[in-house]
Amino acid sequence: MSSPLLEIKDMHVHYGAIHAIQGINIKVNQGEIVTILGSNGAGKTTTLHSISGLIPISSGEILFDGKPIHTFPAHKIVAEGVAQSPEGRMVFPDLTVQENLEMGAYLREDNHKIKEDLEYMFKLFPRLLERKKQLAGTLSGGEQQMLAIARAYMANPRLLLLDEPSLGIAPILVQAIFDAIVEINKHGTTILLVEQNAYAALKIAHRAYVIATGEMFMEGPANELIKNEEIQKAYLGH
Amino acid sequence: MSENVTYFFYDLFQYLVNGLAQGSIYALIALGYTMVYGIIKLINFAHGEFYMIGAFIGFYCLVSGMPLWMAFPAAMIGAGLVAVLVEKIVYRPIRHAGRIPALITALGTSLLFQYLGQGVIGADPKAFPSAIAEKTYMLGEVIITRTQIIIMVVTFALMVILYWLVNHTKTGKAMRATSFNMNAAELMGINTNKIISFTFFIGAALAGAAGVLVGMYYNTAEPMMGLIPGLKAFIAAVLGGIGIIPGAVIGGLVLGVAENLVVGFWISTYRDAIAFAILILILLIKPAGILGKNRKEKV
Repeated sequence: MSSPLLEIKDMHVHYGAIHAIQGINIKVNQGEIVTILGSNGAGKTTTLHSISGLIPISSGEILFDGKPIHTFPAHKIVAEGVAQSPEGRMVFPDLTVQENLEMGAYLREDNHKIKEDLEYMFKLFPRLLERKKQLAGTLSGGEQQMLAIARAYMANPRLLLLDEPSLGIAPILVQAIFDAIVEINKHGTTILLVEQNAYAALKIAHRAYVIATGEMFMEGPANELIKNEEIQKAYLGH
Repeated sequence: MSENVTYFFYDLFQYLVNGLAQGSIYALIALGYTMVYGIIKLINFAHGEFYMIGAFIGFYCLVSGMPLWMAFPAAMIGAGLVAVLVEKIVYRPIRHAGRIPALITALGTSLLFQYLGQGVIGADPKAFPSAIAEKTYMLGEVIITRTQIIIMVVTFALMVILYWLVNHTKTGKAMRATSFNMNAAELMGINTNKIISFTFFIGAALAGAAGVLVGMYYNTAEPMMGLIPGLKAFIAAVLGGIGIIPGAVIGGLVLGVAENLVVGFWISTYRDAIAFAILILILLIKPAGILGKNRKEKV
């Protein structure tokens, strides 16, 4: 059996005196969509930020393709093949849609393949094509979310981290965004998805982890967790 | 009566010419203030010293017989490299310590360079070599000197280059991305430390250019020369809207012209007072500056 693409081993994260992540283990295999669920403040975003190198871990290991990356600065982790669409989208408001996407491909030199990926993103999100000369700050929330995902994809990552892609988005766009995530995955990109919208996430994911107050609460195949009574009560609103 | 009106206009145009030349210098210095503020939210009070350092590098190059076209870029690059070192040694270790410690550190760095300059170079003003033969041109009764023309042309050229750099190069876009949000920029694979170093370099190089131009204009250079122009450029940056690059240019020119109008039509000793009066007014009326606006997050 081949080693997982991403492996987090007994990771702890502190914010000053706060022990935000208390020893979690996560594996993401090549080709999967894996989702991390949990309520507000459970440590989902912290986990993604630690993978991306924005928040240092206190102990444990993060292995990407078997290589420890938890000591790397954030920009080096992108070079390794891990890109993130952050919570709150964080598109560059004073740059155009096109320029935002160029920034996503900042480290790449393969101009021909960049153009191909750009066209693929415009096919996936036609709204971005229509608005490519517009400043990103003038887009609606949903369009900014599409841009944030497309921008992360433009790094040509082997692992794409998506933080709350449905947060604050009009319901009609949520489905379109989740469809796009499935399409990107089928196209060959492994995805680690953090979501509060547990139902939507479980429907597209292969496996899921549930974090509660910094600790692993439950894990398993998504189609099993979606039927689990505890999960239904706590996160699915049944 | 009509003769008086004619002379009024000659005076007015004369003060405008002088003001635009002076304002170009403020604008060049203000650009560095505003770029550094835009990227790390630091008011770099040592920025005026990069201008002084640029003037002295230009001074020593010219004194050693180097032609102006070599001394000028040497001063820009030298001032830029000093700024890169200051950022790396002084500001980077305290980047996350908060704004007040950074501000105090910047003031300390400014004093360090001023007094180091007095210790090493000497406090007495040096006679700046006249690198070009001075000539005056008459437009009617309005006098414009060759140095004034050079100041305005060089400033304009440097601004065009800066505009191109910031808006049309990958590095420039990375600068804008970093100034919006450092974490978001890092997530693009941008080495934000490198971008910050580069921003200090460019800002100080522009200040260094201003230093040489002023040396040529007033034929003098001394270690404390960065203090007042540094403060004026800071006012110009705030006036235009701190962190906004075109704002620094507008603020610099407005300040230069306003000073010269006050000096010409009113009382010459109010030159510095008017700058600070403008600062107080803008803070009262429009604290975000001429081009400043409040941005709201979109939901």
